Amino acid sequence: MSDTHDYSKGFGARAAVSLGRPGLHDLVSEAVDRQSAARLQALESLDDPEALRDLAAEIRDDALARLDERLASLAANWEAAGGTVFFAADADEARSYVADLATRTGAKTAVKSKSMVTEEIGLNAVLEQMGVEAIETDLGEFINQVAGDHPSHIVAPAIHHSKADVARLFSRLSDEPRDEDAQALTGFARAYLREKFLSAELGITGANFGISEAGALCIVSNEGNARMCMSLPPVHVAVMGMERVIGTWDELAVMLALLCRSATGQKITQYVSLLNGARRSDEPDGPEESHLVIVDNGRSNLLGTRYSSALRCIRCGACLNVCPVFRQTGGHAYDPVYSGPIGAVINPLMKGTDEAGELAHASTLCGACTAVCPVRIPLHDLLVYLRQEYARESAPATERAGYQVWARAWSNGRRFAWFSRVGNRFGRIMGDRVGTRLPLPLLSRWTRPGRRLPSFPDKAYRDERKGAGG
Amino acid sequence: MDRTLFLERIRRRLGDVKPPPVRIPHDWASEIDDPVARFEQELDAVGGKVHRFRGGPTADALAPILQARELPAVLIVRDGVPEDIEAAVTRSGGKVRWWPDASREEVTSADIGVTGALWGVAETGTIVVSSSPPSGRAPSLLPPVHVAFVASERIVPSTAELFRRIASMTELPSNLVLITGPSKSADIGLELTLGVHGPAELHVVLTA
Repeated sequence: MSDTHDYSKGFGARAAVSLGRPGLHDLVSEAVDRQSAARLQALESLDDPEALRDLAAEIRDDALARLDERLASLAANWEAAGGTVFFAADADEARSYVADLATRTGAKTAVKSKSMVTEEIGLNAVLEQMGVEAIETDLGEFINQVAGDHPSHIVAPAIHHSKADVARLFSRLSDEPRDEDAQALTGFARAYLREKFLSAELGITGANFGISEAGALCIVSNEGNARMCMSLPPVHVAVMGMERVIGTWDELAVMLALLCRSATGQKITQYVSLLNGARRSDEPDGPEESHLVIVDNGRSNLLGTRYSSALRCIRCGACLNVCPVFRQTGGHAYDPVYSGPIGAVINPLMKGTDEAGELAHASTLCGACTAVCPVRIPLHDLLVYLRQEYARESAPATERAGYQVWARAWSNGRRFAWFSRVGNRFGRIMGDRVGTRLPLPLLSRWTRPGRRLPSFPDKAYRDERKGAGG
Repeated sequence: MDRTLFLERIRRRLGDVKPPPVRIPHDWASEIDDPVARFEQELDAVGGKVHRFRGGPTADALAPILQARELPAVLIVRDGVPEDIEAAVTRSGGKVRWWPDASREEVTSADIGVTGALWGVAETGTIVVSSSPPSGRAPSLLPPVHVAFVASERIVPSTAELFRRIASMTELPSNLVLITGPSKSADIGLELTLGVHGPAELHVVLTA
């Protein structure tokens, strides 16, 4: 099934589509529970995971505070090793650079490994338009591409597809019936994509970290597809969000230990590729050209603001896995690229759109996201700030007036007592009729049919305490 | 965008007050008593196989891996592997193809790739393979089976120590890859599958 969510509509409408999809909730909740359990177990292998998280937050803050210097030295050192660097201010510049590369090298096929930033800049669509076949080679992304679909999770992009879905999709692709056997389906994908790897003229990857002192990139994968993309085609381009830079190899050891454990519950992923510029003259194989595209695309909107800690994010997906809202809706309700709590924070800020209010309200503010974040982004605080801005700038006048009255009433003891007494009496008289028979325009979504108010006690709490001599 | 402008735009948004530089404590990784035993245990846990090899003809070490297949084509890097490896492969019924002299077709159709490794990491069961000669990239990536020879003394305790070693390399290759077990995925129905793109089997032969 392809993604039928309408991204021009709001979160509520998209969530309704997700909630109505049979089986989706079970697929999502099983996947996130498993990843959360794996994460907890993996953290136990560290002597002091909490101290390491503090250190990781420091490392990221240090890099962000010196971002200009770090990027300048990353670029200079990458170039010194024979690589090429392009700084892209926005999605359009980044896409155009890669499109020009494809044209110049006469590419007909581009193989891609999983990269959220290339999803963000909409790279595939541009390549397809110019007649370049852009193939997703991460198994999950490949499934999504065959389905005509978007990733629904930052780390595990195809959790919304069941094994039966995959068998159906691969049967259609190969015009041959495929059994619901995960290993056999994987074997089909291996053979299908191997040909693409060997014939592609352009390999595209993301980058998990840039290491400025070394002019190096670190790219993790479990399947080995990223290694193929950076090793087999004659031209490799890595697209990296500009915030993903750190200072040193020592820092990388810390970041890697937390990224792998937080994302998939592994001590380390099967493959960790460290790249430094272009293939040396004495090396037996590898691409002839190595390009690095460093992308801003709205990230600098967050620098120097109270939201800047969101740029610490290393895209591990741990906050998605524990979020009670994500669990119900899956990722497509948020955005075609970044979902979950981190998506709710960075999407509106990077895009500079006013959907902030809505996404920021797609949270219970339970703080589970903040509790698991390996780089200690105070996600639920940031969601509250976004709500404040929404309340100041975009909330309907009636809603603002309502909250003002509420704030005045409840910030004074006598007024509060009066309100609770009147409210209690009103509640007892109206009972179940509140909201169903009595129209309450401001509270309609809280009181609509299907939701029941609890029955009210005989006395307001304060009066009861007084009566009891308390 | 022009680099100077790009970086200037960032600089303008950052304050002048910088946090003190981060100091990474030397000892954040757990201590390990017996790195070789730990390496074996960790690699085993992620589905790789460790073979301890204490001298004698290399055929003894390779036989169990090669004899599981019929007439396997074995792609072998020219250095960093035991000198008698050709005899070992032939005796076990395999055909030798030398890297990087083999043709593209011979490389892409090889059944087994044999390389050396720069280091092993005890904490994670990881080996490190370089794109520099002799290894290159393809022999540890394209064949469905990867066999790596690693000297036990090259096993470092932790990834923290590994990155200190990497930091002190006089010259970096264009690509170092940390390999920890066979290629795997859980993208289909959350089921573990092996050999998605990289090798489905990883054998590490620890030499004394």
